[in-house]
Amino acid sequence: MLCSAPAQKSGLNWLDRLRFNKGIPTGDDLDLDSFLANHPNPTSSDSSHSISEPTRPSKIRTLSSEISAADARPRLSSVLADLLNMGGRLSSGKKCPRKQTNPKFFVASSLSNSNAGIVDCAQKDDNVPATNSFSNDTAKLQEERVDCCDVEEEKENDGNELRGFSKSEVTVIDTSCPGWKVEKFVLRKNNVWKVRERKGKSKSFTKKKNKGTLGFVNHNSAGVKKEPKFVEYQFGSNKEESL
Amino acid sequence: MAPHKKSKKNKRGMKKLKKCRQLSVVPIEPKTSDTDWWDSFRHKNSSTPGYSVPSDEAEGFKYFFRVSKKTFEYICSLVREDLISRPPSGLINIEGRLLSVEKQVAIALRRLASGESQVSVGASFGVGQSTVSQVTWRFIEAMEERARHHLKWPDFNRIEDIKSKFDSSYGLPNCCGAIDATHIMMTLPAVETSDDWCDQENNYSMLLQGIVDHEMRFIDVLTGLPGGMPFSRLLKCSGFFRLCDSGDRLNGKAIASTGGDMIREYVVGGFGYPLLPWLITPYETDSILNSQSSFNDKHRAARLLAVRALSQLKGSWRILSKVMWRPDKRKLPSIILICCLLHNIIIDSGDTLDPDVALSGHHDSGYVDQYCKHVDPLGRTLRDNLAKA
Repeated sequence: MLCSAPAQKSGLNWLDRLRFNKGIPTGDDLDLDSFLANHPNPTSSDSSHSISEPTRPSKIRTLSSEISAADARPRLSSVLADLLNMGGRLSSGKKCPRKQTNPKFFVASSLSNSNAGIVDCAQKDDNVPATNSFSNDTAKLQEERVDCCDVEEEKENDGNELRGFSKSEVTVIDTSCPGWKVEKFVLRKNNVWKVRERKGKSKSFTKKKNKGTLGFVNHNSAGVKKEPKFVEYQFGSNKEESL
Repeated sequence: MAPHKKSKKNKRGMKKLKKCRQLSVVPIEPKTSDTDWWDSFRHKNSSTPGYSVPSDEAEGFKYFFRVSKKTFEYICSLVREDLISRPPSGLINIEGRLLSVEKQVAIALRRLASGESQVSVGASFGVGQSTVSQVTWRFIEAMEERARHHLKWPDFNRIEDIKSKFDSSYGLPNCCGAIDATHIMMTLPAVETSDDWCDQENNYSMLLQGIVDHEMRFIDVLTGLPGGMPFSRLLKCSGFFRLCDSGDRLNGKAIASTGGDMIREYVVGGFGYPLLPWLITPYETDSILNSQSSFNDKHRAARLLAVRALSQLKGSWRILSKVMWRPDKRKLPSIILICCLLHNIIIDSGDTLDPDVALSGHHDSGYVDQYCKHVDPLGRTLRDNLAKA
């Protein structure tokens, strides 16, 4: 309802006018795919060829550093932010319109670090249309969102001990374990790694030792480069290790 | 209401009948045409630019699928029950014919061997991208169940054989294998919280740890953990570590060296691993004795088995050496495992591993060597005894 206000004086509706101003094709026969394909952005350039083209690690390194930040796809985001309300906050007491009157860039990094997990969830939701334009694997996206929520729940349960750890669900195949396949959580805080069984889905083995934290903690020296040729890791035990 | 229900039932019955009629019309590839796929594939792809296909047909087959025809048939026999196309769920060709098991296996092997995109592989077989995707995954699932016996820790007799070969070939008595690990690189969606998968070289990767025997056969595999984890951590996360640490593995009879020292069972690994009572690493190269230097040479030669096995694996199954585009991280470990199983099947079937296929450089080129300082006193003693032997 809020969107129907502008009069149709010029024969174009507000969306068409906005698209026209931004150089996006208008009309019923939108070719947004080709527009997005031609629009320069760091992640879509090799989407269809990367499998067949061997990519040098250094190249990937550059790419990953570009896209790993919370404000990935800045250019595409700005286009989408122009079209959609990406969570802009209005300071006035008025009811927030669904569409922005003056579209603003959504800056995820402006939110505090303590909300990082929540921001990730929000970003995924917000980016669903954009991501779908690159990958049709909607089922996978749904899974990712579920994963995200699971992590949040688990973090609450784990308490202070795991504060600051990031958590990833992993499927581990270990031919020394019965059944081979085990679902686990990997927790990481810089060079400190912990691996935990996922309750309910794990297949038990060596029950005596394997319950709870495996505690593969790599304190301070892990990953520290002492010599140019080697990356040095400390294997030594500490109190948290259950081995 | 009752008559209405009856009519519904009738309708359903009619629908079923119609469906059956339709299904019976789907032509199944006649059994005689099972080899036709190879003829047409060969004809279509032999002259493709970029390929250097051997003129010999058998060699040409190995060039595309890494296995001999005989081994290929064996693989087909393993997965036939799972892949056989039955209406209505059977996968079909562009021509509308159900895909034979042979063609499905060929599609999956080609996808794994070449690492080319699903579209390219599909085009080379005359099927669509989604068919390649489905066929490859069905093959992987089937192999995961049916080919497990090709990757297992050796039984007593087998381990004795391995130890004897390590002793005779490398001068390492009671050695049961060599361990190494490698990164399988991938790209991840920007929206995903992917930092956990970011390794020390700023690539996104998944680790594969393998222990191989004297024939470069994988006898233990661990995969699925993020590439940023150091090799020593990866080892500690493994069932192999737990078993060895608790004395349930590498617990065979210790033998006496020529000097009378007792030498227990162990595996050899590089500097990235800790020196443990059952995992022997080389001496640091600074100011070492001649005997220690000589031991390092033997150790290096034996350890190279694992290095070469991973190079061979990543070279033969190029899907592992190319950067995978946004793989499902739940599925990627299975893909890696199947490549290890195929690697072992090639050895078990008596096919030769083609050294030309292996990666020309190190399997983990671009990554600096890792170095683990941990030294267990029992490990040090064993290493000294080995150096003296």
